[in-house]
Amino acid sequence: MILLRFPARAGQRLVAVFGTGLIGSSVVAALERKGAIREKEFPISWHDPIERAEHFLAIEAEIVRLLGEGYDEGLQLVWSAGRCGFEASQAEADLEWDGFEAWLHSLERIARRTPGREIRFCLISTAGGLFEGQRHVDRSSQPNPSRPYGRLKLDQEERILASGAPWTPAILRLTAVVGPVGRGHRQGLVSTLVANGLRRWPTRIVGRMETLRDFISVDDVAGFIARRIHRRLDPADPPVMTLASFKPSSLAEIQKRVERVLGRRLDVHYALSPSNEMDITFSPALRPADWMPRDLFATIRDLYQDALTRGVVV
Amino acid sequence: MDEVLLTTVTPVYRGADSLVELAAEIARVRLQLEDEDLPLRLVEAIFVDDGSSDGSDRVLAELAERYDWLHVVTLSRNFGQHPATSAGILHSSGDWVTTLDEDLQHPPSELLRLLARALATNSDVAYAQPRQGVHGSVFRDLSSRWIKRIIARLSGESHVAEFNSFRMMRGSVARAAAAVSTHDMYFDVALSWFTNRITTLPMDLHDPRPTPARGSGYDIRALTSHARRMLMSSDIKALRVGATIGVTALLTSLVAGMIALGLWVVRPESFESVRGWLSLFLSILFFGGMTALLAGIAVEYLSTLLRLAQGKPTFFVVDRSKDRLLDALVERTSAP
Repeated sequence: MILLRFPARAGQRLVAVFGTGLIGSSVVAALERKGAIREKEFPISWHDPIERAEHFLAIEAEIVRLLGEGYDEGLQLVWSAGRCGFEASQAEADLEWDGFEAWLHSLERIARRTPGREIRFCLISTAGGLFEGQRHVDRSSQPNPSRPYGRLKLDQEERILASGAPWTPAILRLTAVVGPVGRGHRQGLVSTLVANGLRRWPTRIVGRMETLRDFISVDDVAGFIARRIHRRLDPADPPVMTLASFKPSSLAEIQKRVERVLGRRLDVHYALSPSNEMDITFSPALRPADWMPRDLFATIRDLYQDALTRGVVV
Repeated sequence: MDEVLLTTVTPVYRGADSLVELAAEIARVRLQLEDEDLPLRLVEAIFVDDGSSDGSDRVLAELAERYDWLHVVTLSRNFGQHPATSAGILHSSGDWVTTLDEDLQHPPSELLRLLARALATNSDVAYAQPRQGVHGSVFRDLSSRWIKRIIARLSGESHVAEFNSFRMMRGSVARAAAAVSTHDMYFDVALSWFTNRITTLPMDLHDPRPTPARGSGYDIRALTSHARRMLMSSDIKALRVGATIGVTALLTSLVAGMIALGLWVVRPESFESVRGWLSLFLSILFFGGMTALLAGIAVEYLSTLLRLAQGKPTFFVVDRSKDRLLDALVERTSAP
């Protein structure tokens, strides 16, 4: 967990980002660009209750101390932690749920110990996991997860919304997030294609050429979250928002765009698997007011430039 | 329940006057489908604002407020009809995508017939085929028809004559074609890279607006540009004619040279009248033919590289298994 604080001139508030994977670390970077100062980093234990209690006490003490120093614009909690991916088994999902539940109890305690402060809880969820196999998802669509990962995220959402803690929940359902190549995080399809294309390695894609997916850039997501954190709470904000590009892309289109950016043909093998061949697309009617996703082509180009600049795949 | 989704795409440049009516007609089709017992839903209508300057953007914004299934994609400047069409298709998610002009030439009420035609013929693309001129201008209708015929002959693309901007396309094929379309590319040519299951449906199409309101700017220049783009997007088989002429000239010069040599040995007196003329002629024929042949080979290489750069696929896969869901639509439409 990374604890950040905004100094007085930037609106005194604390931000605790749980999970420093692809999304968490990008959110921290976006907050720092907005003037946040990194206060402290804490380990968070998932499975060992004794270690978890120790970690929590340290976090609680620091947050309560800083709030006591006059961070009168309150506390923002961003939960982007989690070890499960799309392919997680039920056992892995159950283990993660236990850790999440334990941490949530602790965070609810902090919220109750700091009355009078505005507290917001932002949960990073999955649009693809909740609506897998549904096309043109709109306001009337109901989540119907078909994998343990999707069910875990739905349970987390319901738990947050039903929590009696004095905080304002915000649930962000993200589609497939595109992040930089080779930074140690789990890599998605686009990053893998760019990395393998640069290395001239073959790529195995599980799905059909015409399978539709929705891709968004992690920088767009991080920028959106940072803007929300930085500004005052808007009562008009819905508790659940979907962050998607709202522009479906077939896997063949992704391949073609990466090839165009790299200027070379990719060695791609499409592996057929019925569970991964279902389209997932979203209606633009779900677009949050200030969400402006970048064009996928620009995202791929940035990814490529970044990989070349850092020399990560040479 | 498994269902088939339908998307409409409309590039908009100067359509402020007709957009409200067009959206209302699409809404009627949408409602009609909801009332019918078909697993078919018109799920979205995408309007692409192609740098319009007549207030179409404001009209589109109002329409998007009124209909939650109507979505607007705004291009940063005017890119032209085909890039705008590609942009709209790349934002679509329907199993079938249909493109409609903004000016009410293409009645949304014909969408289902067009779809039924594609399904009945097991096709991936169905073009509307106007029974008569649609533009109210003999010059425009005739020139458009003849240019398509000439290009079909030059390029070897037999479907060029069937191209029409009122088309019903299998979504996956349309998106694949849109993904490889470049700024100067004719969308329908890219479409034919992915499928040759193309059919047509004769129908009465006409521009319902009074002539002075049209102002489409479709003049000789536009027509030439249109033709140039269509030709440059196609495999230019006409260029092979040059190489063929080169080979013919080369062979002719060699054969004629040998005959001349034989004659010179047997009857040297016949070469005394105009000395040097035959050798000059044969040299020009030989080197001219050689140049044309080498240029033809170079152009062939260039053409191959261009297709590679443009993204002409080695293959593409398609799933037509959902078509059977709409058997009822096909039967109903084909019933007398």
